[in-house]
Amino acid sequence: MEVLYVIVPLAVAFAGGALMTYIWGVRSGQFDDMTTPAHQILVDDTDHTDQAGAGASGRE
Amino acid sequence: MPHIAAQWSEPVKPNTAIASIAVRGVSTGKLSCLHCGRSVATPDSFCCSGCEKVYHYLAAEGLTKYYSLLSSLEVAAPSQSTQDDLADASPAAPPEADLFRWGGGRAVQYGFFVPALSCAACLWLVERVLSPSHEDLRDVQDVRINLEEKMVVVTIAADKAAPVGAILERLSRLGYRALPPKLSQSGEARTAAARQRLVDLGISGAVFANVMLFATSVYFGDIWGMTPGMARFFNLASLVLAAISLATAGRSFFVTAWSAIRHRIMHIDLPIAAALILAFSVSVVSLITGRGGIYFDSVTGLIFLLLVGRHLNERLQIRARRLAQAVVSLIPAAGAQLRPGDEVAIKVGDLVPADGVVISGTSEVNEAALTGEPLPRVKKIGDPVFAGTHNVVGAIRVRVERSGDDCYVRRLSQLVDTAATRKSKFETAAETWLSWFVAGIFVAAGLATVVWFVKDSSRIVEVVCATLIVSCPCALALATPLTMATALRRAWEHGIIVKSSEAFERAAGIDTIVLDKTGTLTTGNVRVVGVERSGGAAADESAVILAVAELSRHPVAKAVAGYLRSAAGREAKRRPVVESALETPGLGLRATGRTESCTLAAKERSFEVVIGSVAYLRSLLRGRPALDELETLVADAMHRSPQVVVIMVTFEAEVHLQVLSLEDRLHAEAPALISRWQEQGIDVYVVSGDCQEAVARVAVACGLTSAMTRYGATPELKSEFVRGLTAKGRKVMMIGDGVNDAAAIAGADVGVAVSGGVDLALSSADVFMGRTGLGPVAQLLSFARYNQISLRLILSLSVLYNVIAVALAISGVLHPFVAASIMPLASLTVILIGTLRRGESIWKSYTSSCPLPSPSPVAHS
Repeated sequence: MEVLYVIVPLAVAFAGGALMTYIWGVRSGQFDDMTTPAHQILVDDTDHTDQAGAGASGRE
Repeated sequence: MPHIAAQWSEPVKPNTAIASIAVRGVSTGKLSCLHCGRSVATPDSFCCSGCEKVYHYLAAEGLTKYYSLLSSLEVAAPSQSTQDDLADASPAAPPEADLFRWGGGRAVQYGFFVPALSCAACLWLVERVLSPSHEDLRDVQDVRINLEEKMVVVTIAADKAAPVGAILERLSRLGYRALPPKLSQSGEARTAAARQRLVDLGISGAVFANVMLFATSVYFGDIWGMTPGMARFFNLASLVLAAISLATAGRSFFVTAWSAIRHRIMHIDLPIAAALILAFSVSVVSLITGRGGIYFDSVTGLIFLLLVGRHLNERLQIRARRLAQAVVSLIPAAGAQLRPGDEVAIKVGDLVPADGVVISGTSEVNEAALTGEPLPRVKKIGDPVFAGTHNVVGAIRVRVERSGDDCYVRRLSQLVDTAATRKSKFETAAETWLSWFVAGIFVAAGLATVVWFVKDSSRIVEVVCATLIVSCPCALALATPLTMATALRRAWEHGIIVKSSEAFERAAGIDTIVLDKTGTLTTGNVRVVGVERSGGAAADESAVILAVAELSRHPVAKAVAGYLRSAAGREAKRRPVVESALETPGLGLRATGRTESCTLAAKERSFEVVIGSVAYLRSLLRGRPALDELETLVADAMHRSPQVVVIMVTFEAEVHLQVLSLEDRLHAEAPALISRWQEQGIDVYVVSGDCQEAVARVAVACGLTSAMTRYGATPELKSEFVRGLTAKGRKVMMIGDGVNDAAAIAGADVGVAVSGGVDLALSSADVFMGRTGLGPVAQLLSFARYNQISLRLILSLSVLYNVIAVALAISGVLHPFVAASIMPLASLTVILIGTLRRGESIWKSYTSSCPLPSPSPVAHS
């Protein structure tokens, strides 16, 4: 069972790594807003034709 | 009055909207507003000028993709009908950029609170409109939108002038009201605090999971054999992790506990902090000496669970407070620049910017926001007008007498502040239980000392420590935030927004309800309740009346239009053309036009429509035979309601008269609910600013005696009335909607602002309703009581757990494993009860949101 003396610190170190990643995620603002990004992907950002044709297109 | 004629002879142009759309070649042919999709009378038109403005702005900017986005999301654009007046009324007053300051460093951030942000289409639109590609916004570095908080945060380089004015203008042209974020701390500080909380949660959660793993290993190692060295190793690992958790995530408890000690107040964090320190140091000592209990698992679990409860509660309360801020100043921006003695012109549809006196013109001004009276008042030269009221009929010039903070509406808000500070201190259930609990702990510790002094004095320290540790009010501390968080969320889902959990607890003990009349007991809008007419209706009659009535902003004209739309249904005929219209304040609206004749298809015939007061029609019909007919009709209609409006339609020579009875309708569920409350032993009062007769009518309909009503009440009297009741020890809930109720709402034990209420009422309230009527209030009361029972149940159970644990600890047989399992067990019960007791039946009882009965089916067309 002596292997536990090695395994346990290793496991804690891994957990610590995961925790650091999480903290980095929080600090870099990834958890600031949990709602907006989910909505943002619904909108296609690619077509700029719509902007060019100002006023020409109506309600589709 | 010649000047009136001069101002009011200009014809109203009703068809410009239709014409401009025809030019742009857009046609859907549907009878819905092109912007917001609300039903309208004619195809390809708008429900209001606000929607029209936004639509044209979007078209000009090439942003019509917004509409296809909306339809793909299956939502409708917000209607602008309530906002057009605001947009009109605020000329380019330079806003103070500092108001919107959000945070700063190398780049300055400005925050705009935009309550109307709701979906992906809003997101798209705001991003487009505020993009730096616009000339006036080229210094914008970044635009971030947070839908949950309804914030738009714009980053601008620090050395550049902030285009706050341009941003506000663009947002308002989209129909979005942008408000200063009104933060107690800067946005940056708030974000930092929120992030810190998440970090703390993460650390304490990770530590808890790992320590629990070690602890269970040791517990089972006890039974199945584990070398002492291995157990010591596991405990050491727990010690390191627990120290980390205590030093980082646990810090907030010590900070609060310390300030509680300094201010000599009892706070739930005090026993928690004491237990944490005690449990940790006892465990360290036990680890070194090799005997005694080790409680690292309890320490870390306690920290984690408490933080979870607090996090949930805090998030909900922040959201509720933000919503409460969705309140604008009633006074238009222009008001701030005005000085006494200035003269201002106030157009139709504008808000009055300052208190003053009419110096020219005549109009009708809707003072509902201040007085609660549903119908506008006639204002002639010399009459006073008040800031925040709404000019609905004619243009007037006003000489300012008081502006800014001296305005009546501002002084009312000061009244609100004083009423709020007078509010009695409320002791929450958790606080009451806690003080008893702490006393109990000391008794238990004393008892343990005595018992073990007699039995075995060498074990005194060990046993007393164990007693103190297991009696830590962990579940107690978790109970309130968690139950309240789930309760607040549930109420929220049903359109009841409660600003604090304390208000929720107060609501459970209410024994007196004070109701405002207009807008609370009643719908706040006059509606047509009956029609008296002689002879049949002419063809097209409804169509021409509707066309005329829609020209006016007057509540009576709106009521007539609404009634005709619902009674006549959709007529696909050609819209009558109104050629000229003249609205005379205090009298009515007179219009002429042409419509297609039905009998001779090719020929058009002219018509004249008069919608006005009895006095107006009397003067018009003087000396004509129709006068007698009018008098008979009016006499009949007066039986139904004292408020009537006369409509006269003249096609060529034939005259059609009808008299419509108007009434501010009672919410359908109100009488039943009031009698139910009375059965429950709750006193119900109606306090209104309206006249005696109107209040009495409502009181009779609700089954209230005259002793329970007050009429003609000013805001001060309302507030005084509520204070009088609270002074007598009554637990008062005040329900209202207007500025005139705000002070009373703030002073009541539970202040409730009903849907459609005015900002000041909303901001002073503890609770506000997202749905109309009294149904939500009944739900709130039932749910608050139900929730109070849940809370007591949870508190009793958690105390029971502690009593068992303490008893075991005193008897000296408490195995650390039992201590460790009791703590999560208690917490689990709390969570279980909190989630199981949902009170579904309460929500079902009024979910039909109480539709108002449609006007009685009277013979019409």
